[in-house]
Amino acid sequence: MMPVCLITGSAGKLGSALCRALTPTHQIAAVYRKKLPGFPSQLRGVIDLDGPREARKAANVPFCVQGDLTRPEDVRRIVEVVLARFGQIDVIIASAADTRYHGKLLELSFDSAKVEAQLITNCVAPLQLASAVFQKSWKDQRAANREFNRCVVNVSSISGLHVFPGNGQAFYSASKAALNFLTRHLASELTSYCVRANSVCPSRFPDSVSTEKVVTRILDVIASRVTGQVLEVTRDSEQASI
Amino acid sequence: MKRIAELNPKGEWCVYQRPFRHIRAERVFRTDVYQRLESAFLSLKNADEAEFRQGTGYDALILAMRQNLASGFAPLFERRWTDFLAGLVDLPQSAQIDGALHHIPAGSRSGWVHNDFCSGWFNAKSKGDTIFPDRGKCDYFTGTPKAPGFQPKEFVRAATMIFYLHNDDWKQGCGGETGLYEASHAGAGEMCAVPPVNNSLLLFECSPHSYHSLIANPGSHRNSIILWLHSSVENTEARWGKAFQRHKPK
Repeated sequence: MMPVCLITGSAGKLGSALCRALTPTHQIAAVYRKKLPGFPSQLRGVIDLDGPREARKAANVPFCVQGDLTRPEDVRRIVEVVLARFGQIDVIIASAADTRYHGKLLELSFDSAKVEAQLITNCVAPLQLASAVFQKSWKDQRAANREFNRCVVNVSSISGLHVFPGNGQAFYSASKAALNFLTRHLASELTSYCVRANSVCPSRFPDSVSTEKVVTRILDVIASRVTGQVLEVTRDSEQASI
Repeated sequence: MKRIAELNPKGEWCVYQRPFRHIRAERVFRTDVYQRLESAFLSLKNADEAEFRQGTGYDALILAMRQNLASGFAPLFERRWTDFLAGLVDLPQSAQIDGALHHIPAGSRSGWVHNDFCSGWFNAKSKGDTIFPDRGKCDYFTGTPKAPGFQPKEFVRAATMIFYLHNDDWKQGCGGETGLYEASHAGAGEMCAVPPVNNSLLLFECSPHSYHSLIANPGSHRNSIILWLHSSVENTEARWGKAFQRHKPK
């Protein structure tokens, strides 16, 4: 049986690329909020004009699940639906993000509701998702956790590691910095259950670092045994340092 | 399903289930056919710009399709094409069709969210492989005769096809997509935006759920050809009950 990978933000640039890259080796649960992912799925079939009226190209297409990760009830439903569909979850990649910049702190020109929503989306929701999977599956499955090398990969940002002044990204940056620390705490809590957790901090993609490189880095993390790491991905960063 | 000779063998046709079932196709026609369609569109637009009317409450400039113009757009208004489309959305074949050329100038506003699920009136006596509404003699939406002796017969829009063409300058961010929605107002539920890429097509069954609209296009004009298939009132009611809109005579 192929391992099961739950990917959030699957309609985005990185999420779509991850779904495509992992489909040959994993069963994919692709979570999206509003925009349906562009890749073939149970919600998007390929029509063979010369064959049966509606034929899907391959049996193993990502299984799309709609949900708003800022709503705890949606998080629970997503996990229940994915477990009902596949029976297990082996990898969580949290790539959904609110990437808006809210301006300078001193000008107070930001909308506090939007700021709070960003913090929830970027650093609370990924942890709620991991927690829901843990409670419904990983908690009592130490042997399977080890066998399937189960892990969480939170997609953070280089803005969570460094301050890039002058572009009003303070809250975005803080949300990613918080995600990095929360991931390290998560790794610490999951260690005794044989589940790993790491965060990956890419530069802005695809202009500063290619999306392919970010995907490759994430695949490396999934295949590795590392945990509790915060891994920078820049144009110059080494690919095989883990 | 009988393949249309003009189709591009490298075309990609996909069916989507959300926010409502619809079909999208890219690289629809062979290059020579696409170029012919584009030339036909441009020649009408350039020669008869005055015939393009602004829609009510809508910034689009619209030229209603007529039998004598349709042959220039083969195969789009031919029976073999409309039967092919009907097969894709599991509808019974029907001769009654309507169509339009749409030119949406850059800077147009978003259209309103609607579902196209309404009745359309045709001449009961018309015969032929394809039958267009006779707008000179009858109001298409209400069935109100405009000429003595005209016998209007009610049909219902059954499917909408939008074929996008001559949008060479369009790129992401220009706007002009067709928004598809889960509900009758754009802010609620899921939506997706179908980009007006040259030689691509959007097809959906008209139903109580087929909510869609033009999205404002600040960056580039948008051109398209619209085709509506129709179905009998009996067939429609068997599928959807009486949920289609009947416009009252003015």
